[in-house]
Amino acid sequence: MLDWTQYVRQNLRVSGLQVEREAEVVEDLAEQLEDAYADGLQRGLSPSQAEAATKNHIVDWRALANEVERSRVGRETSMTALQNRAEDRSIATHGEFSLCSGVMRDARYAFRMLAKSPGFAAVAILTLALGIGANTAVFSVFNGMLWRPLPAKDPGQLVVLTAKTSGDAFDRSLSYPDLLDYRELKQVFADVTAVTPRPVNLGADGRAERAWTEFVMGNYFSLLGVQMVRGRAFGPEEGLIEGKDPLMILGYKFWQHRFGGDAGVIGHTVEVNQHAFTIIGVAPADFHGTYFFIEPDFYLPVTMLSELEPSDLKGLLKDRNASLFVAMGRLRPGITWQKAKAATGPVNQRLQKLYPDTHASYSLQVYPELKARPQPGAVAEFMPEIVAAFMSLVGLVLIIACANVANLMIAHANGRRKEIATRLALGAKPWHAVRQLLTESVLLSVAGGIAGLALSHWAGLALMSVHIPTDIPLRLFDLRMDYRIFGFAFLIALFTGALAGIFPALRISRTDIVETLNESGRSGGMSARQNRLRSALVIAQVAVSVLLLASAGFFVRSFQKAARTDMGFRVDHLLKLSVDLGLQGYTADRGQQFYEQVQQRVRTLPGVRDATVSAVVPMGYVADETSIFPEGEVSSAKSQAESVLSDSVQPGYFHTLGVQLIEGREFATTDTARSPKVAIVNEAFAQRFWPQQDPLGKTFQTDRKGPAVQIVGLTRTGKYNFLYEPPFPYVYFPLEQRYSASATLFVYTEGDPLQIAGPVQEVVHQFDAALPLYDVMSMKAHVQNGKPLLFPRLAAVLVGVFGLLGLVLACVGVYSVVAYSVSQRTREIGIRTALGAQRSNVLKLVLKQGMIPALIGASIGVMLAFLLFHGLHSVLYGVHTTDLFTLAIVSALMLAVALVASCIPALRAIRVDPMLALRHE
Amino acid sequence: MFNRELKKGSAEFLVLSLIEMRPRHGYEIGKLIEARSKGRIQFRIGSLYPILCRLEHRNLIAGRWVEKAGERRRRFYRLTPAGRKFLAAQRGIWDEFVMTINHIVRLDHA
Repeated sequence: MLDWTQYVRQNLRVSGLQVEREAEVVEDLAEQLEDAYADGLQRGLSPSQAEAATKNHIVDWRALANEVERSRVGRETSMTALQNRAEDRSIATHGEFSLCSGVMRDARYAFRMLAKSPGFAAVAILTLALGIGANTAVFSVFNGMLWRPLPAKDPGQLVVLTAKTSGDAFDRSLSYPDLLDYRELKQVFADVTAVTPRPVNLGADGRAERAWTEFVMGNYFSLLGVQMVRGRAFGPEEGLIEGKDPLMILGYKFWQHRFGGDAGVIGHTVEVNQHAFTIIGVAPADFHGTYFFIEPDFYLPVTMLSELEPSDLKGLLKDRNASLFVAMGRLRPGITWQKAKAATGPVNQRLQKLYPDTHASYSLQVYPELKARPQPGAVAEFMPEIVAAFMSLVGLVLIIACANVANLMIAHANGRRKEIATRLALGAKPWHAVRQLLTESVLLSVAGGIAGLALSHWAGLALMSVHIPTDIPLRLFDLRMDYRIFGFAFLIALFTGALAGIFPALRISRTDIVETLNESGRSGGMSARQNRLRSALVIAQVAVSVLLLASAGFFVRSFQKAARTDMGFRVDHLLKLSVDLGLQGYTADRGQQFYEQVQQRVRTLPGVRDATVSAVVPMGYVADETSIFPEGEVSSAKSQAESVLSDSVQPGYFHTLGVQLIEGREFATTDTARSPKVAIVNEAFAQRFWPQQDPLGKTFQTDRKGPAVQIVGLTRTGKYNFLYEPPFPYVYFPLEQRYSASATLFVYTEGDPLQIAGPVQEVVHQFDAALPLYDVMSMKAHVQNGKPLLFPRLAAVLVGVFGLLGLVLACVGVYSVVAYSVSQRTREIGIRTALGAQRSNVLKLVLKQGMIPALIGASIGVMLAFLLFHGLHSVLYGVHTTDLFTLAIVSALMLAVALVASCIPALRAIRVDPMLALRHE
Repeated sequence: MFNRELKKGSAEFLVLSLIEMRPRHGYEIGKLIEARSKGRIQFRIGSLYPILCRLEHRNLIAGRWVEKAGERRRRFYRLTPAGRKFLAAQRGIWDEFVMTINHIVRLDHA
């Protein structure tokens, strides 16, 4: 039998057809001839007769070829077929053609259409997921920190109470007696309660450990309206009389991991600082206390506070200067916080009059609970700026993603220009076309939003797993999903979809019908206007991406600078571990003896260079303060003490910690409780009290009637509390002359400090086997992962991730634009090559397409970054407003990525075979 | 049997009518015309194919490759919505034309 396909190919000479169309014609004709041949055989013809009859079907091949050439038909795409079907249904149900007749119909159609281009849909959805996910993750952080109400009854009625005196920059907590005075304002406060967090020593089931508790007033849980999941809360008669009611309510988490969630634990007795307490209840799982950042292990009545404190701290509940309590009030219905604040006037004035020394210009501050996070006053007021900064940075990622998807949509919609023009020609309203395209982009972005939520959830888990080396049960991030997060993700998904879809939709609906239809066979090239729009989108993308990268660069540089900062103490080869003797009921004498013995013994361990005990850890979470009256100023009645940060240290401290002593001497074993009082101060201290003078030999007092303390040494000014702190005065006292019940042992080692941790702990336990040791770690870990560098590091990582996301998205953007333009210009490139263009010329032509917008975008980005610098200057540590190095690096990085993204399609372009390309059209 | 001009003038109309109810492939359309006209109208592939091309070019019909189980894939032609409109209009014109012609021709006879 004759091969009819071969036969048609031999006879039909067409020209000017697309390759695909030509193949289609050949196949169609061959099939028909084959049908005719089979038909002939069926009618009883012999094979040769049937063949002759079939050949007779087409005699004039020339005429047929002419006809076929004249009526060129675009290759049918699966898309148009789908639309034909949709239209047919539309005709069947509505009797007339309409592009779409309902949103659901649009959505169904859009869904089918996207399912037909899985590659396009996947890239668009992934892009949107990254943008939306990053935004949702940042939103979740702030949501948990600032916007999620407490799991209490009517949280809107809760207010936080603090106090301020005229000179204070920061709000201070309340003392217990003051608190009780304000509690009497029954006309505005339904009730007032208070908490104060403390570490305690917990003994249960024969195990001792350090734990964190919140001492709360007896009305704490009833005021909040929090119901216990097991047992009961404190009753109205409990927690009123000092020393009565040794009761304990467990936090849910602590109940789970310490007691295995055993309901039988209610009624059991445990020991707190060697006092017996009875467990009466378990707080619910979603209740984490009201003291921000700390999730207490359990709650104790505040009236037990004095019982548990070391003897020198007894009487805390009667001391008007012990500003320990974070106070909360519940407003009476109908009372606003402003009204409540106004009502505090008489109490303020009474306190000012009664205690002029301590309460001059004293006044109560009232904040709605949601406006008092994470700390009432100045910190909370600064939060909107932080939120705005981070949301704008991550918003930039979303803008890049939007531009990317818009670009993809333009290219995608362009392929459908002809079909849309046909529809418009047949009477569809432009609005319908816009609506259809918008539906597609919104569908994409909703899918992106769902994927983004999943991404942000993973990001949240990663963030929550950040471990901060301290025994305090910190609770920095609360990233549980709630309706706010879902709402946010949904809204930005809609917004993104609309933004990414509106430009392509408007552009395409304005298609010139006649011109488009006259393009007949051509699959639809880009108009110059569309190319400009796409280039503009790439410029915007690259600019924003450079801006993001620059921000990331600044944060990283700032972090590097911070990490290299000389903090004034040794970081390597230093082990630290902390004890709290007060919780074990040590007297000062016994404690001093213990410290001395431990130091002596640890110093003899192999691999140990030196060891010392100090009350305070540099850059730690606890600080001591001392009042300073410089010599000669005590006598004047008007003199005011100045409060200065202080530490009590053993001899050998400065050697062990590597704190540089400029002048004078270290403390010696001869500086005892009975010898003259001495101190070592830093340069800032000397500068503050005796500018331009030698501080050695000068004296000061720590209270009006106290003995004179003589300065025997001078150290360099280091960092004590925060990395970004200005130099401030600091004073060291001998531990022998100024006891501290809680202290930290520092061990200066020859090798890896952690290797010696075991032997050191053994030594300590030789003296007291039951003493809990906490915060056992190297100084390096403390600095790297703790307070000093944690936040610069988190910020650098977070903004760095934004920068990388932006870079990846911008890279995809450049690539898609160049790749699309290459596919559109195959013919042009073919002609150029055929006319003798060198490969390098073609390469240049294509690279220009990507690199010109990239260059323009990068320049704009650098300018924006300069502006941003001025904004971030105050936030970033040690980065100067003209950090040209960072800018140069990020611009180079962006351009290199853009070059690679343009090169891939460019290399494809130079491989274009001119013959094939010309035949293609 | 009918002369060439007559055939050519009505060919498009015939093709559109035959695929109105369901899509058909090229040879099937030719055979149907032959069968329904009881052999009085015949189209060879060489003459029918250009008509299909023209109709498709004018977006009145659309060809689509369909693969049925156990058969070779064939190109089936179907009416587009525009073709449907066009066919309805043609029918009206045709009916009116036939009526008018009949009216004239028969009247003359009578």
